[in-house]
Amino acid sequence: MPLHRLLYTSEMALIGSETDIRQQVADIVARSAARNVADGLTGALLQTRGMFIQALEGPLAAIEATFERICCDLRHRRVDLQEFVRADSRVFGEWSMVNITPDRTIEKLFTAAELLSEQEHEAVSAQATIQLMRSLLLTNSTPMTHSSLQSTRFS
Amino acid sequence: MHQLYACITEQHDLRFVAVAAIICALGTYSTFAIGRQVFREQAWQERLAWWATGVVTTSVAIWATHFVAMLAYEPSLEIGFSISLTGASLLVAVLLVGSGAGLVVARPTLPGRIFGGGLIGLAIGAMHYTGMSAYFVQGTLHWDVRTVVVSVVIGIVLGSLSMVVGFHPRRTVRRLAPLLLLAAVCGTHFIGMDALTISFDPSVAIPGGSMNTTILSLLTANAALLILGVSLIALRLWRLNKLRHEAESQRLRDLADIAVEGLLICAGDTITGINHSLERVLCLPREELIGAPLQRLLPDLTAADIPLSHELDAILLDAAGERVPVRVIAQSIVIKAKPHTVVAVRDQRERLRSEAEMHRLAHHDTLTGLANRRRFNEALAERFATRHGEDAFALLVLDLDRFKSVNDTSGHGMGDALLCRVARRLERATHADDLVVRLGGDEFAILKGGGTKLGEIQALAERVIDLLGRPFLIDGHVLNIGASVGIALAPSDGTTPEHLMGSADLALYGAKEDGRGRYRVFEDGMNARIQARRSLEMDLRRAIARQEFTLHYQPQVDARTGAYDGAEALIRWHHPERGVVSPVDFIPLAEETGLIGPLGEWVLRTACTDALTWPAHLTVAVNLSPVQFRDARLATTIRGILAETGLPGSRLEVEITEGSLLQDEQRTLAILRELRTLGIRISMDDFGTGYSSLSYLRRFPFDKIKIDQSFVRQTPEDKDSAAIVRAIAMLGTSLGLKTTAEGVETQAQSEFITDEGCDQLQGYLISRPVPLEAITALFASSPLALTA
Ligand SMILES: Cc1cc2nc3c(=O)[nH]c(=O)nc-3n(C[C@H](O)[C@H](O)[C@H](O)COP(=O)(O)O)c2cc1C
Repeated sequence: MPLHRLLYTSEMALIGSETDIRQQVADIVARSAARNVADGLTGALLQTRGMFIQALEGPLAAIEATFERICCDLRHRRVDLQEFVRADSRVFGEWSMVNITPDRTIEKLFTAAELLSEQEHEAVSAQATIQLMRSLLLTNSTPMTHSSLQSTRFS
Repeated sequence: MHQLYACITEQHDLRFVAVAAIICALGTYSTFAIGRQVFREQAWQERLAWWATGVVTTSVAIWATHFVAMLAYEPSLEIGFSISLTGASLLVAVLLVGSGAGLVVARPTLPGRIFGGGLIGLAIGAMHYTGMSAYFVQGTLHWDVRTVVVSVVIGIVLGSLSMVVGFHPRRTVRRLAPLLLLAAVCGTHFIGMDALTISFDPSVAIPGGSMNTTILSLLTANAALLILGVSLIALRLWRLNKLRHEAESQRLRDLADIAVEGLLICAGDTITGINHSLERVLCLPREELIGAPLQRLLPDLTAADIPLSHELDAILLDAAGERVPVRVIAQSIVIKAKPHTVVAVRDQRERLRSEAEMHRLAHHDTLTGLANRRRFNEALAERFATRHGEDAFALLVLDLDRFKSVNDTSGHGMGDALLCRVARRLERATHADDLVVRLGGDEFAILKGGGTKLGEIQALAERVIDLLGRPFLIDGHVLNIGASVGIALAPSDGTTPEHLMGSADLALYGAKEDGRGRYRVFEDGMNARIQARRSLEMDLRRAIARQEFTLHYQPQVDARTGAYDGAEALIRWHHPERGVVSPVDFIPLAEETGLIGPLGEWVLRTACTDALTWPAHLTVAVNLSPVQFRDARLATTIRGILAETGLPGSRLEVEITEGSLLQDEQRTLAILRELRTLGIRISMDDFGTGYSSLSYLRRFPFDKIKIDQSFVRQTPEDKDSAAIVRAIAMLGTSLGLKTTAEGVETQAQSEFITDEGCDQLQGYLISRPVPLEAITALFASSPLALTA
């Protein structure tokens, strides 16, 4: 079955204290991970400067259905699809959904929003973002909660 | 045994013994006949009545047998009876038989019957010996105790046995019962008499007030026979009557069971019958309901409440206590000489369900499941009707920004899928008390519940715009549409549904003018702008009749020779007050209002008439709007105009834009082919803008491509424009189409374009658009051009 992958950005629309918000994001990720396992989807969710950047990959029908639900979700705004392509293999095969919260130093270097706003090289920047998300996960330099890692593998 | 035989034959008057035996036989027969009737009856009153009858007849029979047999006893001495004790003996019989029979009726099991029968047997003995104590004779009575005991025991055993046998399932066995009981009575009596010896004693005096035996015996025998006879006759009549009624009821029940509707028979407020249909509705067997009050099924109703003439809506309680909506109507009938009510119970669930479904269908959009325009109109009218005082509410109307192009390019299936998703997102954006409506096409509305806090309304509009602005992924395609929202508040922006809707539409119009993906709240100024538009529309309608339009012509020349080829007709509107109105302002309005039809015809007719005044080799080019192509009769209209004016088809050229091709392709193609058969030439206008798909040029029968002036103007300096002009010219050559460059203004452009291989030039360099007289003059004085 052919794989598809999408990458989108959105503005967080969560309310509450910093801890509240962290909890809400954790809830979103936990719920998403559970649903994605059932749907054969994998991906990662990164937050930086009040924005979500999410990569989602898997079979077309599941991606479309899940993305439609994400597009009905009022916990974020201005969902902007950066890329929607056919893919040969999964980039986030290890994670049905995983939370990436970059620390300060990385956040300074990594301005995903700016990276993505370079309209001319949309495809390039989407690719770059996806690779960056993956390396952030692998180097594990982020304060991730390991419990949120789902170790279901898709090959 | 011999002794007993001797006792009966020698000491008794045999005629009396015979009478006693007859009474006893009749009595025991009726005991069982009546006994069985007790078991046949259902109602306790009737059981009790028959039980009493049975007890009385049996007791009387036993007692009379004893009494008559005593009269038959001839001890050859003077005898007498004490009245009170004789009466008491009857009472003893009644009491014991009564309790025995009661036991059998109450517990018809084997032990019950053994004991009950035993009691009845005991009654015989008890009665006999009580009766004997009422017997006076001139002598002393000596009892042989053993024989007495035997007589009592015989009575008990045979009585008991008779009851065991009497209700046996087999009829032949049952037949023995009266005989057994007869044997019990006779056995007890005669063995009891055998136990007695009397020794004469003249000192014993018969107490006064004793009865005369012969009269007494006749009276007793007659009374007993009468009682027995009457009981048996009554039993017979009762049984016959019963059977007839049963047959009648059965027939009634059969009829009722055939009926499809539920039927309920009541005596007063007591249920006496229900049919199969009603059993099914209730999920209850009739046995559970018979005798129950009507209110158990129809709470809050009495039989008298149910009308005879029309149906009444009511609630029926089924087995599970579920409330079933029904309609009831009554009819009174007489059953067994008693007035009853038959209640027809019509289950309304199916009807209500289908009505609800019809209502749902009528009020919902079948594609998206949202409320439809009809439901919306009702809801809006109701909001106005129930509004009081300062009560305010908000109406949002929205349409999708790029829906038409999705529908046109990706097909209706995709368009429908998209509309469904839009509907779901709208439901996400709204609250439960908001009414989301699909008005039709890609128009939606939200009748907001709650008040008119501006912040809330704006938040709602923003949510709608945000959610619909997000991409849609359908079948691997990414569709971006977006929505514009117009908001109007009642009552400030409209005090009637139409008025409010108009205001919301104006606000929507404003939002779209602002650029799409916005919302606007209605403002009074919008009205003024729309008024202006309306008045322009009115003027436009009048302008045709008042001949305020004229045609100007811009000549087209051969690029190589400079000779005139013809001219393009361009419309001008001289408004009496506004002055010259640009086509850019009124053509879209004419297209929207449908006025383009008559206007287009006027242009064609005028251009054809005018062209006749020109030299015969010159053509006239007329622009056709995409809207004109929606009319399948376009070709026929043009044919008529040619015939009417006399212009040969070969001198007419029609210019069409891509917009015409984007619509129903088959229809457009058919029109164009027909125009070709009239000799009319077809040119593709504004080529290079829009899609300018190469496939259009292949698929449609064009004669000419007109290169859009936006490219021509920038040649030769701008490289991209120059490349485009070159490419189009080459394309024309390779497809065998003429190319015309529009908007040629300078000599340099003219030279560049001619060099690139364009066939025709048009633009200010040659001439601006001029009135008819001027163009006619130009064409007449053109040997100059021919030599150029
Ligand atoms: C930023 C963001 C990312 C999300 N990612 C996913 C996801 O990957 N998979 C998923 O099923 N739901 C995801 N959701 C949640 C969906 O929007 C939606 O709430 C959820 O799927 C609904 O599930 P439910 O219908 O079972 O409640 C995400 C939500 C947000 C705000």
